Amino acid sequence: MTQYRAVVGVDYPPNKRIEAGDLVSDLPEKDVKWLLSSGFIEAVDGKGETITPVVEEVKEEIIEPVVEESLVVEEDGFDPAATDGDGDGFLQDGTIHQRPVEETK
Amino acid sequence: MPTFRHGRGAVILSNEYDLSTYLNSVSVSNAVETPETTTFGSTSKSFITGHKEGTVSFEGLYESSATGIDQHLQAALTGNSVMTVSGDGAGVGRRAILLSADSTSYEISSPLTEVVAISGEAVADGGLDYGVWLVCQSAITTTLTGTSVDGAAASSGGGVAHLHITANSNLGTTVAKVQGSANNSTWADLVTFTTVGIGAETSQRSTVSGSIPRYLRCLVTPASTGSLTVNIAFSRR
Repeated sequence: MTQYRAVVGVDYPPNKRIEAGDLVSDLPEKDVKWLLSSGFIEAVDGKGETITPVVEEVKEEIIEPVVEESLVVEEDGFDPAATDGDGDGFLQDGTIHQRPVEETK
Repeated sequence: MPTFRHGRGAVILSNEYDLSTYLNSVSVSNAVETPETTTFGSTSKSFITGHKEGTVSFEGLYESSATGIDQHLQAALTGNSVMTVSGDGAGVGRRAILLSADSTSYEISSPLTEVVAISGEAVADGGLDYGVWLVCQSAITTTLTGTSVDGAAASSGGGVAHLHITANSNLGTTVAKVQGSANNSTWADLVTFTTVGIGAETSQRSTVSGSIPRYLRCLVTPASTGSLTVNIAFSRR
């Protein structure tokens, strides 16, 4: 059974009282939460040492920014990633780099 | 239908004195300064909120006995007073205004055909706090576990409590507390006033920080026989 140390005096049913510093294990279950959160009592271990509430460290998820890979168009207008948009079997139609689809360069 | 109050129920406590039986008018004023921030090009004036300032003014009847109002108001001019004022009456849960009062004036007037009268003013050192009575003008001879006052919700900004013992013939010391509860069942001490000495008429002002539960009550425990008149008010911040 968890023990608690009173930080301030507490009156609790049925007609009981603890003073600051007293150890107690029969506090009404419904009262423990608000008494703890308000700092009016503190939980202690078997040796009477204060149990420090364990606060789980929340690891921040690092979200890598999504960088859209831009198409590299060479300085002279050659586009190695060009597609056959009109389906005529040629890439970069009407430019000096016009070529059959099967050719890469 | 709103519930209105008659002025006859007003309560004015200053230190260990219940001034209610001497005074016939009291007003409490709260104001805030609003420095102007209007600049060229503005079509309307603008302001920002500055400091709050609370004042109390009162009028009443002169009385010169050793424990009368004249003695107290003369002394109050040289020091700070714990003052609690209520136009809402003395019932538990009724509204009360708490202040640390610095007296700024005290006047005695003696008209030829009328009762000698007094008037005075004080400013609130640290502002006004609006709270409730946990007990008011109550003469007790045994432990008083006060009626609880439901504040509707807990608060986290702490508070201020006033204790006025305006009469005391108890043969022992007295411990007075303000307690808080989340469920009106289990109670934790929020404020424990300095133990009141045997037969002492006194006042105390105590502040508390942190969490204030939803319900409040007082607990006053005289150690011996004899009567004492207790007043305790609390204000959340």
